[in-house]
Amino acid sequence: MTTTLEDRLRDAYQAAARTVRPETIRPGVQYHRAARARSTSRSQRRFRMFAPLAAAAAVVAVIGTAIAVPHLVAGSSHPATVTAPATISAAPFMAELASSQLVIQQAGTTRVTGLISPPDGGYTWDAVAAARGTTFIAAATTFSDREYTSALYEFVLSPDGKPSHLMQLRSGIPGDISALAASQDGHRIAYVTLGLSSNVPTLSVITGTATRHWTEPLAGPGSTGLVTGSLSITADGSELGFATFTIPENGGTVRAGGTMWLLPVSSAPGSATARSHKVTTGPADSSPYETILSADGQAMYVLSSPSTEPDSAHSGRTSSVTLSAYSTADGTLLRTIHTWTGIPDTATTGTMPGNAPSMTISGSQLLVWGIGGTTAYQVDLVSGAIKPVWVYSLHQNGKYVRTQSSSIAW
Amino acid sequence: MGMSFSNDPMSTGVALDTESGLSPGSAEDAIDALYREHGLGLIRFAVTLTGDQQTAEDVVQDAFLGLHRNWDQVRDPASRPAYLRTAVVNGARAVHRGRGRIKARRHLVQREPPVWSAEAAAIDGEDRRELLAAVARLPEHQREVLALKFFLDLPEAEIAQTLGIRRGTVSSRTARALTALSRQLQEHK
Repeated sequence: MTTTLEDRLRDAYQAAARTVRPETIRPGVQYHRAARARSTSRSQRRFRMFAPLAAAAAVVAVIGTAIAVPHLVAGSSHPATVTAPATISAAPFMAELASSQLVIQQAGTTRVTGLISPPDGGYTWDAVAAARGTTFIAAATTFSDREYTSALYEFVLSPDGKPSHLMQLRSGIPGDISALAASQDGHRIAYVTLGLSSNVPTLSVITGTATRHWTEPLAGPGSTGLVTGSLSITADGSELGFATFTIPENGGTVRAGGTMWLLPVSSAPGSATARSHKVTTGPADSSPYETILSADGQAMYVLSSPSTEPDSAHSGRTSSVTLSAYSTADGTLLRTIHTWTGIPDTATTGTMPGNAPSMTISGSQLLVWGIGGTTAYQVDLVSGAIKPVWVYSLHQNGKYVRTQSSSIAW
Repeated sequence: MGMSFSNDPMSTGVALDTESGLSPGSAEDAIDALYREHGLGLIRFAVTLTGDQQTAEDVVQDAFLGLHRNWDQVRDPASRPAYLRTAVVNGARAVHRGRGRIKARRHLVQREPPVWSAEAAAIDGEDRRELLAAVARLPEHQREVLALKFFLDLPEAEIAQTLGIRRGTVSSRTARALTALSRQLQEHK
């Protein structure tokens, strides 16, 4: 198939546009600061005026802190608990989005066992999720008529990690899929979609031929929005874990907490938070931004950062990331598992805003990684041991370069 | 009490004017709704012109503030998205030319590298990054017409309206931009 320069341009522009997510948009920080500094009656009027605009930007302090957290790199974690690179016993293979392809890698090694190109029709891979360990679900998105359309695929790995049986499960899904999760049997698939211009993401679950939707419309200061990149599901597919942020009341720099929720999949469609059970707002004096459920749904693992300036992503400060476990039943803190400290600032690493660390889970083994890095961290949830794990990065011209490892499943 | 806004194009804020007949709530609500509907799309469009999200956000915020200032002059609701689109193009142009508030603010904070740079690690695919980097090397008027045509998929008439040029100029400018882009890509192979 011949790809014209025009088609390539459209594809490249869409890739650039999709780097902007609603939760990564700053409030009007600079305007607020300017207004406060001048403290004149005119500037006070400006401040009031700008508040609704900033509120509509759907940005919140917790996300600001998430933005502040750059990728986790080797050497940035706590030295006392990091051991040498290890072979992972939990899942034999990992599937990762890298350089437009789905990469299958033998876990715990640098061995790549397969590459899967995006489907024809201008699709790009968006996200990947593991079902049975050898069965994976992947989402791909295309752009036409000024809007995104997504499709879901399933593929199976052979015992030696070769991908096969790529099969389309669903097509014509409106919007761009930003997060994906699958039950262990692969029969229930959850995802978050976002349109090109919409800043109201939709949370959906497919069960057989039925699809159920929840959303969280933003309604100005104090209202809640879904974090588009955070979604998990229990092994039996009965409950979803997701995160929300809150627009500050003044639309600006006042901190507002992130919240972690548990949603029964049997809930009626409508408001996601109204149908959900609030689990936690994370550790005290911190901002949680990423969550994942245990397979049985009894624990929720939360990544959080200390509460600092919400716009610290742009100030180049260092930060830390803490992994904690909470009971989904009553929200009590079960355990603080690990804290990574001394993480380089975003400016020097070149990590884009919103590239907060992500998680994927396989049994008792949790994988934490940051976009742009070549190292992830395997966390043994039973012993608390942390091991650095190499993840695939595109090999170009004899060297590895950083790529957008936005989704990993194992 | 009514409201209008300073026509000073370099003003960062808004000044209340009790002479006009528009209630404060109506303008703010309308702009709030416009932001919800178009804000993300405009920031994404601005990223294709400026290369980084922070600058894009600044450009879009200024576009909305400009709309607020000129609310009385943009009475037709149907024309407001086009007004904002033009304002974003003009704002991005001002950034590239080193003028205006956004450029001034750019000195105050360290900016992100362009999304198409390898350093940013924001876009999958070296081909895409190379293509966007080549676009960034094109003259400003060519970059604008490419983004309007191939990102927003606007018809030539709307591109002409946005840029304030004739439709024939849109065609010729697009053709020249594609030729220049193709040449650049060949040279960098």
